Order: sequence, then C-alpha cells, then structure tokens
Amino acid sequence: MIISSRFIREYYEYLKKDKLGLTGAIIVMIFIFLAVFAPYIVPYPADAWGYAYNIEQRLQPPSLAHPFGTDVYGRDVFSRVILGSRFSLIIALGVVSIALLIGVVLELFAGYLGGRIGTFFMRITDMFLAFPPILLALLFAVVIGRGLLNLIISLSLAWWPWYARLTYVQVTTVKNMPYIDAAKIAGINTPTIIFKYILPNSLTPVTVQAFLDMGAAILEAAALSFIGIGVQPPNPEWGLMISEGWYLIGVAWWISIFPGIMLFLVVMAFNFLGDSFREFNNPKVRRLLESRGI
Amino acid sequence: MPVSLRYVIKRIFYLFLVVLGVITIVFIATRIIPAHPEFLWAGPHATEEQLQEARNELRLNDPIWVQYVYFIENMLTFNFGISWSSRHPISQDILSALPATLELAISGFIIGILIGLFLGIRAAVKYGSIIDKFVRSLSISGSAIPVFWLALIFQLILAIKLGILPVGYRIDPNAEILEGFQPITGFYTIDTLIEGKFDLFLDVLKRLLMPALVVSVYPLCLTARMTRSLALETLQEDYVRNMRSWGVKDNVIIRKYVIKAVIPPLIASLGLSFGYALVGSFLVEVIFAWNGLGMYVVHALANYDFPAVIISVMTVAIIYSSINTVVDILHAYLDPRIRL
Amino acid sequence: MNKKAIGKGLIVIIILVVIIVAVLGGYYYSLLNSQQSQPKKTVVVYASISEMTSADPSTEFSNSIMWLAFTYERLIYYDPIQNKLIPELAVSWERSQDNLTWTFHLRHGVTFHDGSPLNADAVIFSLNRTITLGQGAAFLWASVKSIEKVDDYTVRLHLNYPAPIDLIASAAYASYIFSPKVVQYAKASNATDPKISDWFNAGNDAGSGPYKLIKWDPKNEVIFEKYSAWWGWNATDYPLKSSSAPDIFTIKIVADAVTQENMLLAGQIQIAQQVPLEDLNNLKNNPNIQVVTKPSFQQLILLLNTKKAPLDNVLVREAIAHAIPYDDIVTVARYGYARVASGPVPYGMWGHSDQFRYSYNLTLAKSLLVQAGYPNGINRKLLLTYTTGDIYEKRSAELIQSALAQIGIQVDVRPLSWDEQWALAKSGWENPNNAQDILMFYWWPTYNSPFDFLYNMFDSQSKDFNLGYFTNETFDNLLSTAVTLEGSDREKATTLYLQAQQIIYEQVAGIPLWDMTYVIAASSSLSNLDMAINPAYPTVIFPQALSLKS
Repeated sequence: MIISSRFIREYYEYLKKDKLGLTGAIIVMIFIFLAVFAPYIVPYPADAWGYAYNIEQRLQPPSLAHPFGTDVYGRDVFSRVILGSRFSLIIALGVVSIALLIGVVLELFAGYLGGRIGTFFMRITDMFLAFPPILLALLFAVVIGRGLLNLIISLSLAWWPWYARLTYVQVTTVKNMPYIDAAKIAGINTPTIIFKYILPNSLTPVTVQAFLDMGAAILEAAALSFIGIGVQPPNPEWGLMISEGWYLIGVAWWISIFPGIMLFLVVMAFNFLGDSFREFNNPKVRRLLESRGI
Repeated sequence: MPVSLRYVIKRIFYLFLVVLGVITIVFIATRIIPAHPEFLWAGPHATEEQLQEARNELRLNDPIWVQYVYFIENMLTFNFGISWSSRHPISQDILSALPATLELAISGFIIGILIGLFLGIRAAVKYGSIIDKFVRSLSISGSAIPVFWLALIFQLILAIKLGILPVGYRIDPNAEILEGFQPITGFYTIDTLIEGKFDLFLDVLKRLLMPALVVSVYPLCLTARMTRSLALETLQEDYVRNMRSWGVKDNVIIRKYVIKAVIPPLIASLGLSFGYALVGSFLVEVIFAWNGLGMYVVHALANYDFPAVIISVMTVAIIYSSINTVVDILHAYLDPRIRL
Repeated sequence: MNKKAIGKGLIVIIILVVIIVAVLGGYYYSLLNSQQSQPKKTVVVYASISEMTSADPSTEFSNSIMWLAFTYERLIYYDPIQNKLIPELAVSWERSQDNLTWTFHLRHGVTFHDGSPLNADAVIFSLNRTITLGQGAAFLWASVKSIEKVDDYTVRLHLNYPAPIDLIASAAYASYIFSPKVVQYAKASNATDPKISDWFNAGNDAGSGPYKLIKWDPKNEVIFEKYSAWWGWNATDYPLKSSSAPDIFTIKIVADAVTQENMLLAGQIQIAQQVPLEDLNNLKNNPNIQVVTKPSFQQLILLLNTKKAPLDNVLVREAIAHAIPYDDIVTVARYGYARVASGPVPYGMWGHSDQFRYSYNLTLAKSLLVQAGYPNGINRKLLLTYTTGDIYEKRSAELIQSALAQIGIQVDVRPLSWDEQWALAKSGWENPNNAQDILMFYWWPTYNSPFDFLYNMFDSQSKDFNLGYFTNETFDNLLSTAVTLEGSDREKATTLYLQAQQIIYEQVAGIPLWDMTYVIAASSSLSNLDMAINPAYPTVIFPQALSLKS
C-alpha cells in the first residue's frame, strides 16, 4: 500500500464528514497546542511545576480563581493539569518514535532478508508479544528505574514489537512487488534497495499507525505513573495526579477527577482519529459508505 | 477428529517455546541489562553480606550460559526465591494471590464479552442509527478510559456517596470467624457455594460487582467494536442482503448467519480480551483493596521488592500465553479453515 | 449437525441444573444453619495499615507489638500519662540501696494459655531466652548480670550497673513472659533452639494475656479469642479491663487509609488505625463514629549528615533548621494532628522541654548561609530519604523540598523501603560521603526514657540509629552519667538530659519536626477506647479494656 498526497487529501475530505474523527482531530490539535505553550499560559506556573505551596489555599473546591480547585499543598490543579499535557506529549512522542526506530530497523532487515533470519526475528517479536500490554513495560521500568526518561525507555522497549510486526508485513508485501524484482535484476545492491525502495513505501502506514498509537502510549504511561514507577512528584503527570488525589477522594474529589477527564479526552481523541482512519481504510466499509452516499 | 492432534501438539510445543522466550526475556531484563544484577535482587543498598548471598544464589561467578540454565531450571521448578518484603517464598505468595485476580478478571471478561456481543450486533443491524453511533462512540471512547480512574469514580459515587455497594475486600471481614467460611479453591464465589453459605455467596457477588464492571470495560469495548465490524461485513454479503430484501426477519438472520459468522473470529480475539481484563484487574485491585496479584505487585513495588514484581509479571505472561494457546485450539475447532 | 445440536443443548441443560441445584442447596443449607445458630459471638475488627511481622515474643521488634502486647504480659504495665507503674505479672517490686539489685514478687494464680502456672521459673526462662538470643530490643537488659530464683514466686535481678529495671520490665518490646513449655511443644533441645522461634512463627502463642492467638495469617489477618481464665478479669488492682470485652478480636490488614475509612463507615470494621485526616471533621459529625485523639511519643525527625559537606558545617545545618516552616508542615502533613516538636524527646515524656524549638525565619536562614560561605545557595542537590508508603512523611518531605528551595538549597526527595533507607544510612559510618544528606524517620521509644531517644539517635556508640553520624564527647558523657542516675535520682538525670538536648539543639545534629497525635476512628458502639490506647505501647489497642454496647 502506498500513501500518496492524494490519499491524504481524500482522508481529509472524509474526515470533514466523519464527526467523530473530526472531533478527535480538533482535540488532538488543542492538546498539542497546550503541551507546547502550557508554561506560558497557565495562571500559576510555580504551582504547575510543583515547586510552590500555599497553605491558606489548600483543598479549595473549584472556583473562579481555581477552576479545578487546589490540592493538599494549595497548588492550583488547573495549572497542573494543563502542564500535564506537556509531559504526556513528550512521553507519547518519545515512546512511539523510539519504538518505531527499533521496530522498523530490525524488521526491515528481517523482512527483506526473509528465510531463516526473518523467521527468527519474527519469533523474537512473538516472545515480546506474549506479554499482556503494559506488563512488559512494567518489567523494564522495574529494572531501569523510575523517572520520566526511564518511563519512556521502558515503554518503548515494550512497544517496538508491534511496529516490527507491522513493518514485517509491509516489507513482505512491498518486496514481492514487480519493481523490486526489476531493481534486483538491474543489479542494484541490497542496501540501496532497502533504503531507496522498500523503506519509503513500508514506512508511511507504520508511521501513521504510530501517530495514532500516541493515545495508547499516554494511557499506559499514566497507568505506570499511577502505580508509582513512572513520572515522580512533584511533576504534574496525569496518572500520578490521579494517584495523589486518591487518598483524598472523599474530601477533595477534584484532585483526581480533572486529570482523569483530561487524560480520557486526549486518549479518546486519538482513538477517534484512529478509528476513523481505519474505517476509511477498510474497503468493505468504504463501499458501504459510498453506496449510502456518505 | 475435529482438530488434528498434530495441530494441538504443534500449538503446545509452540507454547513451550513462548514460555521459554518469556523466561529468556526476563533473564535478559534482569541479568544482562543491569550492570550489577545482585543489587536488583538484594536491593540497591544491601549489605556486603546480603550481596554476597545474592551473588551465590544467582551464580554470578559462573559463565552466563550456566546462569541461564540455572535460571530456567529455577523458573520451571517454581523455585522463585524469597520475597524480601513479605519474607515468604514468592511462589507461595503468588499462588495465594492468583485466585483473587483470576476471579476478578474472569468475571469482568465474561460481563464484557456478553454485553459487547449484544451491543455490537445491535449496532450493526441498525447501522447509522442512534444506537450505532452510541455503540461506536462508546466502544472507541471506552478503551480510552483509564480504568484506575474509572474505579475511583465508581468508588466515589456508588460506595462513598450513595453507599449502595460495599467497598473493599472480597468477603465480609468476619465471614471466617462468625460463619466458619474457609477458602478452598480461592475463588470465593465457588467456595461459598460449595460450603452452602448462600448469604455469603450474595455478599461475595455484591463485592465482586463493582470491580468486575470496571474490569469489563476494555473487553466490552474490544468485543463491541469487533462484533460491529464483523457483523457489518456479514450483513454486506450478497446472500444476506438478498434474504433481507426477501423479508426474512432480522432476528432470524442474526441467529442463523450473523452470530455464526461473528463467533469464530471473535474467539480468536478472546485471548487479547482476557489480557485486557487481567491488566485491568491489576490496576483496579489497589483501589478496591482486592487482595490479588495486582495489589501484591504494587506493594512489592512500593517496597522495592523487585524479584516479587518480576516473577509476578512473568507468571501473568505465562498464563496469558497459555490462554492464547487454548483460544487458538478452540478457534481451530470452530473454524476448519485454519486446521493444519 | 443434529447430533451436535443435541450435544450442545445437553451441555447447557447440565450446566443450568448444576447451578440451580447448587443455589437451592446452598439456600436450604443456610436456612438450616440459621435455625441452629447460637447467640453470635461479639467481634471487634481493628484495621492495621501494616502487615504483621514475626511472632516470637523474645525477638520481635516491629509491627507485631500490636498484638504481642495483649497476648503476652509484662511484669509491670506503664501508664505514661499519669506516669504510673501498674502491677501486672509482678504485684510488687523493690530495689536495693545501691540500685544494683531488683526483687520482683509475682502474682499468684496466673496461668498461661496452655494451663501451666506462671512462676519464678517461667519468668527466669523468658528473660534468659530474650537476653541470650540478644536480638530485637534485648539490649534493654544489657545491665543484667544474673537472674536469681528466690522462691517460686520471687525473682531477683542482679545488675552490673544501675538501670531503670522497672521501666525496662514495662517496655513494649523484649519484656514478655511466656510458658517454659515451649521447649517441649517445639521439640527443642534448649531455650535458644531456633525450633522455638519456628514454633512461634507457625502461629502458636504461649502467653498469659487476656486474649489468645487463634489464627495467624500475618499478611491478611490475625485473630484472637478471649482467654476466659485470665487472672485480670476479676483482679481489683488492675484497671485495664472491661466486663463486656469482645469475644473475638481481629487485626485485619487494610493497607490504605481510604479503604479503612470506607470499611469503618460501612460497619465492616470497628476500629481504623488510619483515616485520611482531612476527612475527620466529617467523621466527627457522624453519630456512628467516634474519633479518639491521644498524644504519642512518636516523633518525625530529620537527622543531618554531620560528616559530609555542606552539612558538616554547623551554620548550614542551622540555616536549614530556620528555613523549615514547622507549622505549615504540621498543617499539611497531619492536618494539625501533631505538635511542632521541641527537641528529640517528645512532648509528654519526662525530660522534655519547650526550649528547643527553632524559629521559622528565612532572613536569618539566608544570612546564616552567607556566613557559612554559600551566598548563592548550595551548588549540589542534597539527598533526603524517607520511608516509602507513609503519606505523612511524604508530605513533610515534599514541603521541606519546596521550603529549602527558597533559600537556594535544592533537595532530591527519595522514598526508599525502610530496609534500603536503613542500609544506605548505616553505610555512612564507613563512608559518610556515600550516604544521604538528610534522613527522615520516626523514632518512638523502646522503653520510656529520654535516654532511649538521645542515645539511639545521637550517641557516637550507637551505630544502628545514629544516622547523622553525630559525635560529641561531652554529649556522650552526659548521657552515660544520666542513665545510671535514672534508677536512683530521676531529677538529676532529667537535668543532665536537658543539658544533652541543649548540645543537640546548638549543634543541629537533628531537626525534630513534629510529635504525632494519634488519631483513631472507631465505631460508636465501642466505649472505653481512650483507655485501650497507651502511647507507651504504640499502635496497640488493648481489647480487654474495650466495652461493646449492645
């Protein structure tokens, strides 16, 4: 499958009609905007980074001054939730790009070489896929240690097999295309074939998939932070904030609820986008859509 | 013979390879990645004596392949060592926590599959209607819900604010002392029935309901989404379209054709559904004070008890692969095309 | 096809029949049971945050005190609030003129849970086992040279140097008396055979207390049954009892405060060890709940690494002491349920003084840093360790982190398991540069004397708990003099302890943060809860003192 600019234009046209997908796209854009500009737009930057405290203002319910209330140190939850988007974006970008890099590089060779080596690589990938989601990341996080960077590394280490498998399928498809055979006959050497012909054509779908997977990465990162092995306090990561507020859920529900809503919205937006993309890509559904004039 | 014996043996052999692979990954993650594995095993600031003990235990002075062989031998004989936070053999800890997790995961899994199947078919039949839009957005947004957060909300509303459902614990804390309840299988729904304690059975169900509903969310969304698109595809088949235009009732079509077409591929995804249920239980156990493996792992994490965490994760991975194997065999039984 | 359908239908029917039979059978059985049931036993469930540890009364030095304290008994019971020693297994005792001999007269008619009598042999056996094993808090008995049996109900202790044996005999650890028959039960060769320890840890008890252990599942629950032959139920000289004490007392491990609160509100437990303090006002307004607060001897303290730059400079230590917002910490960490500490000896303990409080003064703190040669703050992150899982420590630590940032000191706050935190800290005696800069931990007394606090945390001989590596000869001398006076001249001892604390204060070897106020939330159906809590035996609820309203 080759993704051309025409394809993207078509998808854009389709998106305009698919309300769920469009909602997703808009929320994702807002999220990226917030993540980039958060430190400059939040009302209480010091609270957001976690280095300030304000005893008089502690545990205030939502109000005009503090739309999401304040936490146990009197920090503005709104500012922290907004800044949290930056942490999530960094994690998500980091995870999918590292995972993509590992997965693509490994499987590109495996898929191209095929035969025994290819099978061997696929078996290794299968071993990794034998772990239920998150748990492999948990295993690596335990070994590497806590903190933002380690969280990104451990999630990527658990994540690459998915892209490896996807790339493998892509490469196998592309490899059997007539023009590759032609290139071989023309005597072009293997690295050139890989980098000039196979890579560009296999990469696009995997990359799109990776972008859409960012929602899942954010969710898994939040889960790990929630159980205490991801981002560490006083940083405002959503999963961590939910876990910090759990202790006071009966007294100050806002500490946990708002970061959860934000997390949910962002992950949902990525899912909407991903789903609309899948529906668009599914020929049978497309036929159905066309038959109904959608 | 419905499924060839050869296929079953092949699958089981493959499962054995995967288990070996899982153990190998754990070995690589814990022995080869860290520069000083004994610190991981005995704690980063253990005394020299403890470190020496760990080095002997792990045979760090032997060549790496000898360590590897011993590691596999230990894992296959359930010789997991002692947890330094609970001071029990880890195998014993896991064995006592596992039924709680499985009971929760299985309940959530069943609830999720049944509701998901129902919703998915409804949505497909009424494609484009309000129901379909609802199911579609539910199934997509549902898998975006952080389960641990959903658990908190359930707890806040149903237990703390409304007081409808009990919170925490799998059974009345006085069940043993006042009612003479003794765990037999560790699955309390079964145990209470075996012992004929009907009131306790209801109590156990009440306590199970809230966490199981939370756990059911991911399998539910996955099933609903798959069922919907599978059913849509079937409804698009020419013979079904013809039948519909002849006026054959939807109910008949669903019963005779749609369900039959949906079930086999759905079974192929049961493994993943169950995986989601397992992970879901892991994350919500802490919030509902559910004494399962998830709570064990979180406690071990808080105490930096890494061996306990690593072994628990490995156990779950092995259970997960075994279930996938069973599912594959089942799938082959139902869908002759993949019999080999 | 047809055959298959029949097969399927059959399976469904069989499953249905099994379920129906099971449900009906269960229902019938439970009806049958409820008709036969006798009056239900009264039960009190106490939720504990931490798991139980070992079950050996000689060596246990951790959470299991929560039940050892009423399954076993001491010679003397101590009431620190009235500063009164109450006869328990010993009815009276006296010491010699030279303070080197203590004689205890034992109570008659006391039986252990196995029915065997308490006598001099049992006391000597127990104390000797504890002292010989030398683990846990056995060091308390270090002054004891020998124990002599005068007659069946009189025991005499000979000391190497004067020590407050009455306080030691009433300690929360290493003070318990048990039946010598454990040797037999455990099939052991002698008192120190590890088989006895195994026997205890298998869930057996050999005590004489008002409750006996009937279920030992230290990770989940430990259950006790009233010992009806306990001497105390009818004794007139022993106040700690109630006529409507519960038949069954359960310690249930519920690892988080939120669940404890929810279970208490739902009536599933009767006593919660911890509830979110921020929610106490709601609980107090609830007619079904009572909240009991009591001052305790548990103190949260920072020990500063006095052997590693920059904290080896007393001016830097002083700057830190003045940069900590003590009142804010008490508000945030304990919601006000603590007292800002003054010196390492907690409020309420003899030898405490209100003179040792540091002011919160940022200007002063900054100028001290300038004097110390750090006008721009410290150029490296200081490492502060605390014990993971404790929310009060966590909040105190995070607040100190942001407070110290204001005078230019960056702190890396690191939660560690106690084992790890302790191991890292102890390694500082060999190489203080590898250890933490600031250690946050709780101290509570092993026995009720200022010596316990001052010696353990600051004496140069105390390598296990002096984790700021403070060495000061004058201080050590003051302590060693004071402790020998404890048994004879309490007033003089107090003066010396105050002088010793003055040194700690000036040298800023440690920064005491707050003395905890215990907060216990319980069901209103319990009365006498106040009496059942005693700061000298931290975390213990004495069930024999509880009264259950019907």
